[in-house]
Amino acid sequence: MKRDEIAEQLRDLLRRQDELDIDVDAITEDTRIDGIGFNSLSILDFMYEVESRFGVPMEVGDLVEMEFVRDLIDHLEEKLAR
Amino acid sequence: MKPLVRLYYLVEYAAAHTLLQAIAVLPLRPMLGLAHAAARVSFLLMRRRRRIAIDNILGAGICTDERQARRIALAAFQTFSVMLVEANIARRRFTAANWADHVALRISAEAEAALRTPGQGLLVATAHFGNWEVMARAVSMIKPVCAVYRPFKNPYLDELVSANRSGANLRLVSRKRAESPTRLVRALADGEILAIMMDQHAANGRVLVDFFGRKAWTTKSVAMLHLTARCPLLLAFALRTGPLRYEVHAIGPVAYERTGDRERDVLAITQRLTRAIEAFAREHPEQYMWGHRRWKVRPEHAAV
Repeated sequence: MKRDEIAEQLRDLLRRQDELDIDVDAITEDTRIDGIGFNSLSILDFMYEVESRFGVPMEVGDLVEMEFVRDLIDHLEEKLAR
Repeated sequence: MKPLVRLYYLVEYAAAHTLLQAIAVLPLRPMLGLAHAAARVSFLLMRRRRRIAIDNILGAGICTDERQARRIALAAFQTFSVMLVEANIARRRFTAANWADHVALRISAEAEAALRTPGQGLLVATAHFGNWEVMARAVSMIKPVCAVYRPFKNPYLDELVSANRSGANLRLVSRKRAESPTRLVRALADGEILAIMMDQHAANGRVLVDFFGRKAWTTKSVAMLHLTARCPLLLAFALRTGPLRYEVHAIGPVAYERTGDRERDVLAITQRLTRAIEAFAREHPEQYMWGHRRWKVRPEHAAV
């Protein structure tokens, strides 16, 4: 899957997050994940959906290491390429 | 903050501070006597809380007789009062060398391995049963504990109590304070125990489960953390067996495979844990905190 496809899929998942009230189109690769507007629960909901959508399991360490949206896309791109 | 509210908060703080100082200097036995007496007085004076406890006990089917429900409710008040005293004493007395003289682990070999493996994050769900403070204090001697707590409205009291409940290996994270959204996952990634109470009414981030035959809104945090962080999950309680003597009982590690349906997974895990809390509270009702409005559910959601 190409990088921009991954980004679009992530935007789609963000739009489906009921508890988030954000402008999804304003999110770029440089957006900080903790600046998106998640709380400690909604970020878990989002990560669950990311794993289900892409079929890529994430380790607990991966979750906390990701700082920017770019890191998440990098991680997914790398796992999907295997 | 309005001046009268501030004054009230300061008086409340002063009372709590004095109480904590008294607990620190008096021997255990007289303090337990005072705790029982204080619980009786509270039981008489806190009419609303008493009524909630009795109604919850009857509604849960623990007994059908009002007098018996009243006896259990009083015992539950006493358990809470004793918990406050013994938690404070444990804070001063427990060390890595002596905590096991007071707290026995009655958990499976698998659960104990998860607890004793350095660097292994461990998710522990618990409930207002026995003495959750002593349990956290004891296991923090084995592995660092990060406990999620609901802060008091009174900021002075909150600071005092938080400082009192924390320890070298035991830190508290407010449920309400805005921090990084990954702070709970980070605790697990850092190999800590992440302890979360899951038996109070949840106003948001919740799922509706059966609890004692009635629907109750329950936090979905535990289930979501288990599903996302994939850390071992235990449900644990500290049962009081005597003065400053406890047994930690645990269910798990719970293993749950994702189905891909988030809502379904969250419901299944939360219901399973809630049933286990119910079973334990049914077995030892005098050690469960009944004075909480647990079933705040609109009629359209109430049918089981």
